[in-house]
Amino acid sequence: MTMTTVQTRAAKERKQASLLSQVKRYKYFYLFITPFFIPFLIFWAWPLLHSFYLSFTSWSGFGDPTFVGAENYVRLITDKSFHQALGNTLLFTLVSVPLQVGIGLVLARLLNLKLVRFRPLFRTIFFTPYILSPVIVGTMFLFLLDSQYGIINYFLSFLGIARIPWLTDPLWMRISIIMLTVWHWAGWNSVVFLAGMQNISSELEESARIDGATELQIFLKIIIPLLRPILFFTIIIGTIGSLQMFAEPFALSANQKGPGNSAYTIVYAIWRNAFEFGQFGRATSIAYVLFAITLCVVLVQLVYRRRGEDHAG
Amino acid sequence: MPANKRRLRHTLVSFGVHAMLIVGAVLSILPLYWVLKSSFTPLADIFTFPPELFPSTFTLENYPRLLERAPFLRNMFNSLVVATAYTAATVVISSLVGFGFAKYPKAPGAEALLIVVLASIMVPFQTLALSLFVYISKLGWASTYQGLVIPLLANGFSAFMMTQFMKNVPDEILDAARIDGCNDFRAFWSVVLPIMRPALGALAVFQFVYSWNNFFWPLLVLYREEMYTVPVMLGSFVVQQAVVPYDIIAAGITLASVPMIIAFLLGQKQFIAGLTMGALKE
Repeated sequence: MTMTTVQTRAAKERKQASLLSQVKRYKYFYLFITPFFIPFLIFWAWPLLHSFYLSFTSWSGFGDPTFVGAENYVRLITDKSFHQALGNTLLFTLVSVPLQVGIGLVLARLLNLKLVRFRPLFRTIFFTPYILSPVIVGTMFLFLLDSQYGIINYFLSFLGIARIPWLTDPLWMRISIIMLTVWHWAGWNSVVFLAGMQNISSELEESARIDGATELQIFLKIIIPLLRPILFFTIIIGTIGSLQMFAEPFALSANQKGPGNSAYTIVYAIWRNAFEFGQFGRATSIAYVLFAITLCVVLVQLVYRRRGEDHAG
Repeated sequence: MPANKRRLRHTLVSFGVHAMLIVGAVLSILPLYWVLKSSFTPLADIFTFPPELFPSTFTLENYPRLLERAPFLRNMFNSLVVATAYTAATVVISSLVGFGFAKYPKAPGAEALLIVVLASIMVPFQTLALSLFVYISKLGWASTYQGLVIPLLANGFSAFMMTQFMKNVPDEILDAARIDGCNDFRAFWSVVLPIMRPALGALAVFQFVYSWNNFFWPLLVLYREEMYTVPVMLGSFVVQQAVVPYDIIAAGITLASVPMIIAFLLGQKQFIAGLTMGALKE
């Protein structure tokens, strides 16, 4: 009995000593990471935990928060305006991301054809919208989409299409927001995909072509599978960005949430609950719902990707 | 005959492909052109029907009117200061931590900490923003430069990207530097940083554009117009549409976006490398 205690203690001490010497040996590691982890703990980890606590309180931003248990979360189940925000956000994400990726793929495929001239010029132009701030894009479209004087309705009138109430009808407002985000992001996707396609050896394509494959078959059976990791990344980035959409609907609705709350999104709801209704507790609970949704999306996509790799390998 | 036919087909395909690309290009820049044009058009002529693709009257007056209405040059200066400080600080911090993770993977705790950093990327900023805001207000940092910059410095994405980049630094170079009597900091500073310049440049572009365009955090923190960054000022114009006419907004958008577009055209390679970072590097 005593023998084993002594032995384990000795082992423990040896282990501690070795950990200490390990830390000493790697002292530079800790020195290199400290400048990151100090702000990380103070301005990331702590507020994240504190937010979690706040989501279980009722708090106006002044005085002390009162603990209310899960009330904020329970309330969200029946909160109609939150449902609208959630629904809009999911709709924007589910429609906009596939369009961005799809248009990006088509543009990249066209750009990568051998016969294309001025490729760098096209690439530059397609990329330009991406460098603009979402607020700027939202504000720009506010005027382009004006139903009376906007240039978009003017062009449509040539096609015999009557004035579309882009910003004053709930359905059209949603379409406008989707259009705006597709315009903002599709070019970025195309540039990313083009770079990916340029890494695919043209021999593979050529030999498929000699074997009689059609262009569509080559696109679907060779290019898309080889682009898989890049596609995966852009879909995740697009989805996360879309779930956090705020500035575009804010600008496009002039902070009025759009007709029938059609421009209301999750982040918009966080912002309004905190700063217009002074409900910090409820706002943080919505923020945690956003976190949960993001986590689910990322996990689903990771699992899907892993499965895809298993099939491929 | 078949050769002719093939050539005809080639011409048709080429025509069709270029037509589609041109449509895409026109759609990509038309909105921008329209705002630019409007900023040089008197208000009365902006809203005419039919709209004029080329302005029949040209004016510079919208710009002085913008500056009367809002401290817009100050707002641009604020954006520049904030984006520069943020970029410089995050590039330094992320390259240090990236080097740590990439070159001392066996240090106790390294693996776990890297997983924490990776996980942090998945957390939406908005989830912690409100309590961060409360915190910043208590520190007296609301509507200050430090309030805009310092809370955003611990950027998990940049730390992770730099970790990936730093893995490319050959160990031999470090060993050689150590044999020459350099300590690890010295080696990092005088050997690693110079060879990592392209990666640092890409990260800098990414962070600068991010900060220049950022809206959510500045909107929370800023309450004095002189401290507004450009996106917050534009946001406040849009909200007060009834009193801020479109010619002024168009001038504001132009001033806000033209410097960035010029920078993009001059440094395209770096911009595209920086802004597609992550997608193409794995």
